[in-house]
Amino acid sequence: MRKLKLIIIVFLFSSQLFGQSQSASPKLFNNFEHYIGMVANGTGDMGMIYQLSYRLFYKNTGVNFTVYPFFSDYLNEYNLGLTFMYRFYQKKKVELLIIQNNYYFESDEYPSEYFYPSGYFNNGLGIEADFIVKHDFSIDLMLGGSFYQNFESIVPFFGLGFHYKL
Amino acid sequence: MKFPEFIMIMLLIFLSTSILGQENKNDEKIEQKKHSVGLAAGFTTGLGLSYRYLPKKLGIQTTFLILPNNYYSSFGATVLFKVIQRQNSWFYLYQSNLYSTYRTSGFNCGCPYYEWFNGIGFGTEIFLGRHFGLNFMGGAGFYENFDEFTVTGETGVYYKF
Repeated sequence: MRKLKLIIIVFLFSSQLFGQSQSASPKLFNNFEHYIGMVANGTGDMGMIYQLSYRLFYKNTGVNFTVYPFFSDYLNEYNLGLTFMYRFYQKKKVELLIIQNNYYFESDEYPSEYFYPSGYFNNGLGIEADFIVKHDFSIDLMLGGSFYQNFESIVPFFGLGFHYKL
Repeated sequence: MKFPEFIMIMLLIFLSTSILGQENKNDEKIEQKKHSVGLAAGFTTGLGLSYRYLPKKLGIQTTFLILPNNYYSSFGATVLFKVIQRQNSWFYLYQSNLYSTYRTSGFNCGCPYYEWFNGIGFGTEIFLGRHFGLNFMGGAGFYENFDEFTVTGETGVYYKF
C-alpha cells in the first residue's frame, strides 16, 4: 500500500512537471515565427533563379535561408543564400522590410580559363514588401542593389516569392 | 470506496483530461471537404484536369491531359499528407510522380517519347470562399527520367465538395 501511494505521488508529480514544461516552452517559441516558401530571384546576368526558402523571425528581426540546386550530367550548380531582414512597418495587409542578402553561387558551366569565376558572392541591400493575401500566406516583392561577382560591379536585383507561416 | 480504487479512478480522470486537453489544443474542428476538382500545372505533378481525394490526413491527387495525335500527354499521381489545418488554409507535404509522353519532331521522325518526373516538397491551399482553393507548391525533383535534379514549383485551383 505504501509502495502504491509512493508510485502514485511520483506519477502525479512527474505529470505536473511535464505539464509545466509544456506550458513554459510555447512562451519561448511563440516569439519565433517560421515561414516556408519559394523565391524567384534575378541578379545581373544570372537570369532568374528559383529557390526554396525558409524564414525565421524573432519579433521584427529575421533571417532567410534559400537554396537552389541543379545537378545533371552536363551541368552542376547551386546557390545558397542568407538574408538578414528587419521589419520596420507592419499592417494587417502589408509589411515592409529592409533586407541584406548574401548569395554564394557555384557552377561548373564556365571552364576556369574563361573570365567568369566558378564560384562567387553577390551581396545586396534592398527593400521588401510582403502582401498578406490571407492570414498565413504572403506574396513578397523584393527590390534593391547588389554587389555582383565578388564586388566587381553593382547591379540591381529583384525578387518575387511566396511564404506560408507555419 | 477503498483508497486504491479511488486513486485509480482519479488517475483515469486525470489521464483522460490530459488527453482531451491535447486534442483540443492540436485539432481545430474545421469542416473539411474530401473531394476537389480543378486545373493544375506543375513540373512534377502534371498539367491539366485534376482530382483530389483527401479523407483525413493522407490523400491523393491525380492530374491528366491528353492532346490529340500523341502531341502531348501527361499523367500525374501525387500523394498528399496534411500537416497543418487552419480556418483559411492548410499546409501539406507531397510526393509527386508524373509520366508524360510527346511526339518528337525533326530527325526523330515523329516517334513518341516518354519522360518521368518525380518530386517531393511542401504546399499550401488558400481557401477562396467556401468551395474554392488556390494551391502553391514548392520542392525539389528529378526531371527527364532522373537526368536532372533541381527546384520545382506547382500550382492549381480547385473546386471543393
